[in-house]
Amino acid sequence: MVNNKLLDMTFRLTIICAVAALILGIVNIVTEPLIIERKRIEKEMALKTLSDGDNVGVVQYPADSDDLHMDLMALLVEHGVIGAEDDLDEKELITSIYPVDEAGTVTKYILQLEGSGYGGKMILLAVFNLDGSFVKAKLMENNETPGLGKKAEDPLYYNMYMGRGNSSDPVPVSRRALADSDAEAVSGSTITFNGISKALALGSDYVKLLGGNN
Amino acid sequence: MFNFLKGLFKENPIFVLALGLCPTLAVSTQVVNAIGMGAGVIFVLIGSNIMVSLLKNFIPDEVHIPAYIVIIASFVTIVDLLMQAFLPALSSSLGVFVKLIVVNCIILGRAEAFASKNNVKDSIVDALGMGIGFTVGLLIISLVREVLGAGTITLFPMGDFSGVIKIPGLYDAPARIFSLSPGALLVMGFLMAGFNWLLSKNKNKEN
Repeated sequence: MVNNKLLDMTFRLTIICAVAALILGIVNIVTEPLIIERKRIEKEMALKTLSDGDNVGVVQYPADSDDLHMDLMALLVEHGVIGAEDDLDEKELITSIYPVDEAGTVTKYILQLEGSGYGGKMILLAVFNLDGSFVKAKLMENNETPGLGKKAEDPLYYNMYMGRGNSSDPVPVSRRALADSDAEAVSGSTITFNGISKALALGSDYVKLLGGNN
Repeated sequence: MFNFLKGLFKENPIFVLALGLCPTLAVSTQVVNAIGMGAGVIFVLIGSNIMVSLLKNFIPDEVHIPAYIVIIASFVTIVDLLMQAFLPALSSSLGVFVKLIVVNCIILGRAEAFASKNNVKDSIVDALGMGIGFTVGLLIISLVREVLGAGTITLFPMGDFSGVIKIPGLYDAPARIFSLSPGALLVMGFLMAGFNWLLSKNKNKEN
């Protein structure tokens, strides 16, 4: 009797789940190609805007080099991005590298970076000069809080990083390194700021090591 | 008519029942979020109320909560996928809060308290009343918070209109606390008190 009831409940719940899965599968079949295409177009548009019309080269990926990794970690420690004992895998955080060239000479790099914000993973496209100085960026996928962390979607948000990141002026990775007005602007979204700053600092230091030779 | 109006006033989900407060406080930083979140909640509420009402004799009592959650989560996923495909800007703006409609107490609360005991027609009317009541409540809170906390009113961009109305005087010197979590609680508290005062005033008049 008990077993029959249990079986009946299981059966009914299974039917509900199966029908729900079927409907979701159909909706997914319809929407998935549209979502993928939209993301592709968004990225293409963002690369076009960020490159200022210059030629964006073929996508590359971080080199699998221990020497480069060690040099990068040393720079990150020096700039206060990570602690002396810490280590991070740049191949996971720098997911694409696009060289930007003018008349065949690489002048800038656009890096696709992953940062960690208040709502989890953030994907960022950032432009750096060959000396690692920051030019501009666009926050792509993110789940930051509307009205707070989402402000990082505004291009003006990145004014505080503008020109910083060369060997004499590293990318600010704490609010103390910002001007008072900028520090106030990021109040309420410190976790987003930290995530973006660390991603940009990583990108900046990586580009310094590339020096136009990836 | 009563089933519809009760969601707007007497049993307003936000100001009287105090349901769904987590997303309410989280997304009410901008008016556009309130519109998007409200539309999402109305769609899910109507869909889940219809399904729960139709399946009320099929769903065993012992597992009714998991069954309701499966139904609600399915509707939320449909909303999420449709928004990502057809309204990407809104989807990006609402972020994780669309997915969180699954655990919005209003949806589960109405499935449990109303749809599981009533017919489809009444369940749709109840969902519409509650959904619109939630949206109106969310709009009022968002309007107060965005105007005072950011000095703007953010709507959908259309043609030459960027979607952002800047309030002179407040835009340059906003009271930022209203955009932050303490501001959400303050605005919510004052509006809830005002709403209940109005309701009790009307009640006294009727008596």
